[in-house]
Amino acid sequence: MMRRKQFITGSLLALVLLVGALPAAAQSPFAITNMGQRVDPEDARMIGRGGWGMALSDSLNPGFKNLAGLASLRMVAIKFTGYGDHVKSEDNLGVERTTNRTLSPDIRVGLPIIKGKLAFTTGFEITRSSEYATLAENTWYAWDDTLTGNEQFIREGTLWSVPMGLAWQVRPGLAVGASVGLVRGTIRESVVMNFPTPNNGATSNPAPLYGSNGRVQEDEYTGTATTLALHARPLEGLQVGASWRKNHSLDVDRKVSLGNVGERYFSQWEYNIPDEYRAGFDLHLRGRWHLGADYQRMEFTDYHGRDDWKDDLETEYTLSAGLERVQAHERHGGRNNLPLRLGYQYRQWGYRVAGEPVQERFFSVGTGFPFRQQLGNLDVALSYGTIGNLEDNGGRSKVWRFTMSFTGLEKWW
Amino acid sequence: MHRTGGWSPGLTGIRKCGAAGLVVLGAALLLMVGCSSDDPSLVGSGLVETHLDTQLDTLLATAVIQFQPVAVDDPDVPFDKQELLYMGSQGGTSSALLVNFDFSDVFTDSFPESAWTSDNIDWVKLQIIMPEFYSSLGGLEDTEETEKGLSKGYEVFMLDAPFDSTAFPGPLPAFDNTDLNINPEITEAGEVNIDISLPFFLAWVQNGGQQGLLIREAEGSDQGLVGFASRDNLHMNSQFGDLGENTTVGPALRVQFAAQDSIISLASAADISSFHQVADVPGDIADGFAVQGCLRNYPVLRFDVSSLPQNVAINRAVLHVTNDTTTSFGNLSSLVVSEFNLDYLPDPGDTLTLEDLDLATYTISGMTSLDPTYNDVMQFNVTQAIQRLVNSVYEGEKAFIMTLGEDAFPVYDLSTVDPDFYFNRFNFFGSAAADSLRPQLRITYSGVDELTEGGE
Repeated sequence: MMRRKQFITGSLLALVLLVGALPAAAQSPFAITNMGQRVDPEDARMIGRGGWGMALSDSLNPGFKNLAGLASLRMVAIKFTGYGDHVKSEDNLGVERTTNRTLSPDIRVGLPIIKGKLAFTTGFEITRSSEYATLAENTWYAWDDTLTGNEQFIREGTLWSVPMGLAWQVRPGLAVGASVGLVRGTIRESVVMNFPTPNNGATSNPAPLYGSNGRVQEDEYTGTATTLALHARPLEGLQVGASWRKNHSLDVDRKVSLGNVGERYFSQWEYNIPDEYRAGFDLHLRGRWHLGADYQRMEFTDYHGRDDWKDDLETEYTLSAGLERVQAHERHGGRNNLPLRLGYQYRQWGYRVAGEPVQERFFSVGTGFPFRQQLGNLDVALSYGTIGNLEDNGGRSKVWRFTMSFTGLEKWW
Repeated sequence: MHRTGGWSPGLTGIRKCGAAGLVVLGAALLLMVGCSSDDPSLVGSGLVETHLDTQLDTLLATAVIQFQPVAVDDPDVPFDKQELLYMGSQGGTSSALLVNFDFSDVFTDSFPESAWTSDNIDWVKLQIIMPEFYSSLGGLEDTEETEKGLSKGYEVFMLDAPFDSTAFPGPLPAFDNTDLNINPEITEAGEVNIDISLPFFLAWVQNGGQQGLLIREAEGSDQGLVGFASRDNLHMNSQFGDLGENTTVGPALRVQFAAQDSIISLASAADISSFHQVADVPGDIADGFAVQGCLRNYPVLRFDVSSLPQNVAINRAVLHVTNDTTTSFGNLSSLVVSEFNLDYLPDPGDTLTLEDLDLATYTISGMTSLDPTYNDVMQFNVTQAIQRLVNSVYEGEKAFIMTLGEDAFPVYDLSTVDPDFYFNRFNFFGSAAADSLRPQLRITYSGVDELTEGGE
């Protein structure tokens, strides 16, 4: 009873924190183009060691990157992940902009159906995000008037899914999983042109003579994605995992509107997301130290959908590698019991910017804190990285990211 | 799994550490939420197309495809109840004052019949009072000359019979050609007292009954229409400045009695403006159009905007009109442009009631304190009206109507008097005038390909 109370209290606290973290501001300006920036829905434990986690199968701190690894679950698990970004972006003209953003990309639940054998999982994960705005001063002419003002471009939206899957331990050391994800998302692009001058000359709140222009384009995505996963322990001290998300289609409904115009323009088309392959390993080195790595790949060159994106598409791949000193439970172990994690992640984005691939590099460290009676964990990670470079992409973002995950465990039956 | 060992701080310590960690990390996230980003800037602007494909195109619409001057009546204030009486000529309109006096019941205890003799009456004056506007001709361009107003001479004639109010506006009634003004000098504007021939006056008294008078301007007067308070005037305080306590509203005969050493005032029984000649308002837009008060007349006009692409955003639309300040006249006024439901358009020659005007219109924009003799170019912002047209908001056709500041347009109804009070007239150039003078719609619009090629 007491544990359940703690679990619920902790869950609510984490939920409050993460809801507080929901308002999202700008991210890297590279997110303004194409399909948007890939979001890492991995938890803080994985982020702390560079992002790897395909080979993870931990019933006390489960990861959801490879759902086959959930077969070992013995208790109900719920996990919230949220992060905050502090991004300093600059372009090759030396103009800088600092932005802050918070996001909770991952909320997951794992339910053991047969303890240690069969588990069900569902949740919510954000996979891509576009949040950025630009503002440029400009001058226009109409009749005999010279209009001065600005153009603001705003892009916002996320691609997210609700994966529902099963993980099954075929035999000791081998588990498989499958999921179906309901994929949804929006990308909203708006251009607002303001013409504050000329105006009516009023001394307070002068009214512009020319009304603003506002074009809004909203794309709504719907579809389903299926994923197959595998987790194996081929050798003592070695775990491997892999997954394949089958290429799938998203139906896109577009609505274009122009400010003050009553009619709207609607269109529909299909958007093809290529296969995604992931694989990784976890090697127990000695003592509490583990070495791991993941690889992810999507051939976006096979993509079809928006023609204006197609020419810039690129193969997306991610390499994550890192070390973890796992948590210990030694009496009087003190801080030595704490887990330590460090890692590195390299990613090539799925699209080019300024004609060149976008490269993303992150270094990260992390640790975690167990809850009473090992009924959950609080994991944190601090990452620093760069996205793009001035010479090739015309801009660069330097990112500090703080990630926090809350994992709660409870025996509900 | 049952825990046998433990992290060194023990269960309590773990709980404290966990709670502290949650609080610290939660606070960190919330602080992050509170961090404000820099305002959007040029950073990133080169990465995407941030312009609309078309923007700020212009369309000049000069073709008026429907035009009609519309006379407007106020059933609550019929013509013979108007508050000012007009005299003089201006812009092709001429008027005289017609006044009936009733002498059937003038004898009183204080002034019995025996008092109404030439020996006992020093003088008789016909008093008529101009509102401040006509006594000073105040406007945007006050000068020493205009501040004095128009100087007029006055002629007073006996009508053959008391006038019939239903005959006006109309031709002057028959009158005796003897001028009753015994002091026919040009008089300065303001309160006017016309010396009336005493024998004639005494004859009216003796005859009893009603006597009609005609008061018109004499030769040598300054040109222009001027107004005087009628017996129905309700704005003596706001429009006429300081008047004596016992001033009679409307035309009055003031009689000075010698024996009684006092003056009595005989109020008129009826009064009206003749408007025996009224300049037509143009019936063809080529000749121009007029906005007229007193005898209300407002133009309805519709432009051809068929060349405007569909589904565009109207950044600005201006109804650009030019007032001919050399022929326009009158007091400072509001001008209002409204959408007009053509279902209410009367047949040519018929009138529209004020109530129907209210029902038929939707205010778009207007301007206040316009001087007909000074303000020439006027631009009315009709952006929202053109946008509604683009959006096909209405069933049926809509046009513009230009009016004075009627009660139906409260934002622009700033005067204490209604437009039937002053005879104001704005004469606007028509479509046959030079390009810069003709009425026109100047539309600035923006579109996007998806919508200008269609839409749902």
